[in-house]
Formats: sequence, structure tokens, C-alpha cells
Amino acid sequence: MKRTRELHRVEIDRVIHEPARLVLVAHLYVVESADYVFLMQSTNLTWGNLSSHLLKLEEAGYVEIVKDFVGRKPHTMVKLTAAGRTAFDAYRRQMKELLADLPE
Amino acid sequence: MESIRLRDIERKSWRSQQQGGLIDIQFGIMLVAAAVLAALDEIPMASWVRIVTLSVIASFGAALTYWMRKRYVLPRLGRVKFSTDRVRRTRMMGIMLAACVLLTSSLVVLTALSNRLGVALPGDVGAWLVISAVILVPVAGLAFFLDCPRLFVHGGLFAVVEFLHVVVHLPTRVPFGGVIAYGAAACVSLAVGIGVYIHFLRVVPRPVVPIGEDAEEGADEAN
Repeated sequence: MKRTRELHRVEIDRVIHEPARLVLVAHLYVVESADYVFLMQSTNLTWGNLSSHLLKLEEAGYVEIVKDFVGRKPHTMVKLTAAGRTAFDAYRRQMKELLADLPE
Repeated sequence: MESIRLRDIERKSWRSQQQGGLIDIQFGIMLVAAAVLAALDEIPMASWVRIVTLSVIASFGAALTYWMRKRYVLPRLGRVKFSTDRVRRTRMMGIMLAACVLLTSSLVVLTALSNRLGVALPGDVGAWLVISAVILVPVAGLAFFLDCPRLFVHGGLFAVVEFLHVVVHLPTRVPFGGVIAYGAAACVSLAVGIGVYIHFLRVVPRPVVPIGEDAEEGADEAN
């Protein structure tokens, strides 16, 4: 019982914990910024799915979506904010704690 | 199950940007330039003609691969800015390439001054080893920093052609021997590059992007 209560004390960031968003944040973590096409190719998400997940991450303050122009055509780049990088680092620590605490 | 280690994700992202085969095509065009120069060596002409020819071919190659990347590769791969660590490695690669250019230039100057200085330069094999090292070191550096092992193939081709040129003296033994050697190597490099490029176009489709959204980087739904 004590072990179960200890497990429940580990708080998981559910914004990042969702599988598609986890892969998305992982890809954004290792680069400076990326556009939608790169993220779609890397995560195998459709445009609609990607937009939906990025919106959630943006609402949480974890990503910044910058709309710019390349020539005269719109171009959108996505980058993790400092809060997003901190949150991802914290999530990694949380998962390590959680998995390390599980019995063999 | 595919690895989701961060280092693997970063490396895979970096390597995905090289999968278009364009660097192989650029190597092939460089070898074509060498073959054309070897052909021009057979014909007496002013040195400025060689320089202009080399410049034209190099410019064509750069323009062609730029257009291919912008028109077909980027819309499939998207744009990404990599971390400062990766950028720093790329800068180190640039420094190494510059050092190799300086080394090559020094060799050319030494060769030109060898008679006056009475300096005994290495024999044919020694010259080949030096030239191959000057070629293979930057190619190996490129292969390492770009995570593109195919570049070792192109570097190896260069070394083989230089062996035929410098040690075997192929141009003096076979009519248009230099053209044949460089041309054959160019065909191999271009075949590899074009093959990789065509494979890339087939396996990586343009993503479907809603009309009005980043129209440069995707096929509109209307298409």
C-alpha cells in the first residue's frame, strides 16, 4: 500500500504524456525549430492531427508557433519554448522515477 | 519497435535532410567537370578557357541541385533548424575543408617552385598519396559531419581515378584516358545520386497540406 501511495505521488505532465505529443515534443527538443512538413514526416501525423496537438502544446505554453513568409508564401516554424524544454526535462525525470520505482 | 532515444531522433532528423541524393549528384557533376577538363587538356588552348569551363560547370551544378532541392526535396522534407551543437560541427567541417584547400594550394605552389628550390618532391606514388589524402580527408569529414557514408564511395572513386592519372599515367597511355577515367567515375557517382533521388521521390510523397497553409511546402488539396 505504501508503494502504491508513493507511485500516486509522481505527477505526470499529461500535456506531454499523450503519445503523439510526446513524439512531437521529443522531435522539437532535439532541433532549434521545424516547420509543419518536417514534423508531419517525422511523426507520421496528418495535418489536422498535428495542428490539434500543437494547439494544445501552445495553450500550455510549451511551443511557440511563428508564422513568417518565404518570398511571398506563408511559412510556419514551430519551436519549443524555454518552459517547454523545462517541462520535457521534468517529464523525463518523472518517468525515470516512476519506472525506477516499479517492482521487478 | 523503433528507438525513441533523443540522440537517435536528432541523428535521424539530420540524416533525413541528406536523403535526397543531391550531394551525390554534386560529386558526379564535379567529376564531369574533371572529365571535361581532361578533354580540354588534349586540345591546346588558353588556360582561361579551362577556368571559364570549370566555372560554368560548377555553377550549373550548384544551380541544378539548388533547384532540385527547392522544387522537389524541401516540399517533401520540410525545413528545420538544428541545434547549436550540430551547427558547430558543420562549422568545424567548413574549417577543415578550408584547411584542405590551403594544403592543396600549398602543394601547387611547391610544385611550381620545386625546380627553383631544388626540392625533391615525392615520386608518382607519393604524389598520389598526397593528392588522395587531400581529397579523402575532406570527403571523410563531410561523410562524418553529414552522417552520409555514401560519400566514402565518392571519395574512393576520386582516389582510384587519381591513381590512374598520377601513377599509371593513363592519359599518356590511352587516348583520352583522363576523360575515360573521370567520365566513368562521374557516371558511377551520378548513377548513385540519381538512383537515390528517384527512390526518395517515390518513397517520400508530398504531404497533403490544406489550401492556404504553407503552400510552398506541400501539395494543395486541390491538386
